[in-house]
Amino acid sequence: MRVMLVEDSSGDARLIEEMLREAQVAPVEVEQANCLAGALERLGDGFDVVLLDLGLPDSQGLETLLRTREQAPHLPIVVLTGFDDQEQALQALQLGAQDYLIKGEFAGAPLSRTIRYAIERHQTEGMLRQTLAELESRTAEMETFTYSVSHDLKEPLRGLEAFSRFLVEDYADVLDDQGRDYLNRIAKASARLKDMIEELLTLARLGRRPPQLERVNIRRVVEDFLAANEMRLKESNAEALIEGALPDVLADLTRVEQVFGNLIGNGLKFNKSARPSVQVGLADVTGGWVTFFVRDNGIGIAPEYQERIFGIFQRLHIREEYEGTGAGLAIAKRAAEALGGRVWLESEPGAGSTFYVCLPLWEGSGRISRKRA
Amino acid sequence: MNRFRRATIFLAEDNPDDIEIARRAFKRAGLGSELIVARDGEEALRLLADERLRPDFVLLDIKLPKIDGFEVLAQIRASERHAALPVVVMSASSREEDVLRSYQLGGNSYVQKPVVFQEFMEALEIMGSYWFKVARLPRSR
Amino acid sequence: MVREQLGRPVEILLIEDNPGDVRLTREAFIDGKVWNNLHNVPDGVEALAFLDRRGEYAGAPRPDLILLDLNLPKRDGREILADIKADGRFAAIPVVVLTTSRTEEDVLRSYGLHANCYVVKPIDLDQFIKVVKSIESFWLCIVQLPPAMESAAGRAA
Repeated sequence: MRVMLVEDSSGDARLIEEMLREAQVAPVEVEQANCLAGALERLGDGFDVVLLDLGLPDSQGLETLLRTREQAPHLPIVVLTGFDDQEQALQALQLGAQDYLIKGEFAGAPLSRTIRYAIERHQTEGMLRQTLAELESRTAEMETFTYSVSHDLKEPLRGLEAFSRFLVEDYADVLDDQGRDYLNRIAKASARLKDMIEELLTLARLGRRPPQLERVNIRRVVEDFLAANEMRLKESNAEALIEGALPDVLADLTRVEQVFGNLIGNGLKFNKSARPSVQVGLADVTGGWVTFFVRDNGIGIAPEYQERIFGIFQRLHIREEYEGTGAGLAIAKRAAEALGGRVWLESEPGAGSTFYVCLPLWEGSGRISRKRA
Repeated sequence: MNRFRRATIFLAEDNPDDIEIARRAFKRAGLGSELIVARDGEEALRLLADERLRPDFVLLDIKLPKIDGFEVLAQIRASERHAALPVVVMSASSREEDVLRSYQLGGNSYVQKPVVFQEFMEALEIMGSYWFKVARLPRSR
Repeated sequence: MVREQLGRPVEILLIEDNPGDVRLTREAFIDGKVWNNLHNVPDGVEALAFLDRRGEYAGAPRPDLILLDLNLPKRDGREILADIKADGRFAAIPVVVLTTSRTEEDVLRSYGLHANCYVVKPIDLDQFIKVVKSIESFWLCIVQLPPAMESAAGRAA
């Protein structure tokens, strides 16, 4: 193992080298640099780890770490620090150091253990990053594929829809009831096909187009949806209410519309009450995330189906009961996830459903550095 | 008098189903006059160069075999005779690059081909009414 | 409706100095089926400033559609048409010439300068509104308007 020890105090350096030689089972080679410039020059020479004192004659503090990382991103770094500098050491971890050691407080065994773990951890991180990159690339490929296939499918669909319609228009009276029935089924099937293709396209587009993040007023989104569906609401004697104030989110308007539009729409559709009702409100605000609820008095969903319904084209009911392609929830879920959030549900058959949507809170700065919900 | 009826429409389209659908739609919309059809880019350019044919309006698909629609559009705009000929690009694609390029090459408008015939009829009614009743077209040469 | 929803209002730039025509046009568009914002400038010089986002137009949106009267003060509308279509940044934006002139010469010249369409302004009020509504139906409901160059370039990669 080759260690680059960047330490300007020759006393400290000698001590560390001795500890390493004593404690190591395997041969270890230590090279010392007493300033940053000297270290940076030689970092390319096949080292396995860097032991880095942050206080050097030509560089101080975290700057030292950053410059070292920049020069050699492939090398794990263990920071050496005095005990008044623990705050700085913790910051060093956040900035990419694998570990830190407090001078005067470690001996040979912990030193060599720390170094070993630092190297391993670094390797693991590297593999993780690679796997993530591969995953992202494959997902992107899938989405492009889905998009272009759905798109190409529209062409024969156009012919199918048009000619079955022409048949009905021109030849319906020449056919008997059975013939007309068959034609009718063809027409309905092609209408369903069209809906499914458009939803596939919507789903695929959700991935392709990067979200354009901005401040989104949820109340407006819900109100616009309800206004656009006013007729439908009236016809089914339904009511939709917004409970209380709804905070703004950092999101992409289209995707937010897809989330709420699908959830509210479903709440009203899968509903047998005399007065179907949907309420939208705030469930929680914590740590930069807002959770909204969309509650309905609809038919409810049995626990064994609750995961499945988020899959694309998953339907729990026969077509005669409730029309639709079964893509609404898949779209709502994907849309929320594209924004870093998620959708989940609580429901019981006969007792309505409550869907929860978690999205990033608008905090005025538009920062996107947060952990996933 | 509905000028749409008298217009000579030039349709560049490779898909025979789409041609049949268009024929029916034009008939339904009251297009009584000529419909010139080109099945690929080469045929399109050849027919456009034919002095006996005088199209008033072009519906152009960008996906054409042999010579693609963009090239056909570019050549229409470069030609002396047809530089001002209105061309509506009609395509299955809604890709932004395709839309932008069509306008940059001098296409007058870009319309995405509807999937449902009813929508196609409605689009054609609006298009016909706009281009042949409301707008002024350059005289065909 | 054939066109995919933009998710934002369609931005229209009306280059017109006659206040009566501006009012009528605005009314017809407000009433329209598609969410839109109509911006008016009274002449071509202001129009170019709007497009360039200069001075008071620093925050102006990029128009998706331009309606241009040929008879404008300061600089003639035909020159403005030529300037817009010569500028690579704006050439793709559809320009509908909406003007009183009925001459064949103006029609040909406008198409020659790459106007996307030429529409004669009717004198009759009702006809005027009908015409503007037809423009709205075609250009906002049926047509795919060109994206800004930057956004399409990002997609092409």
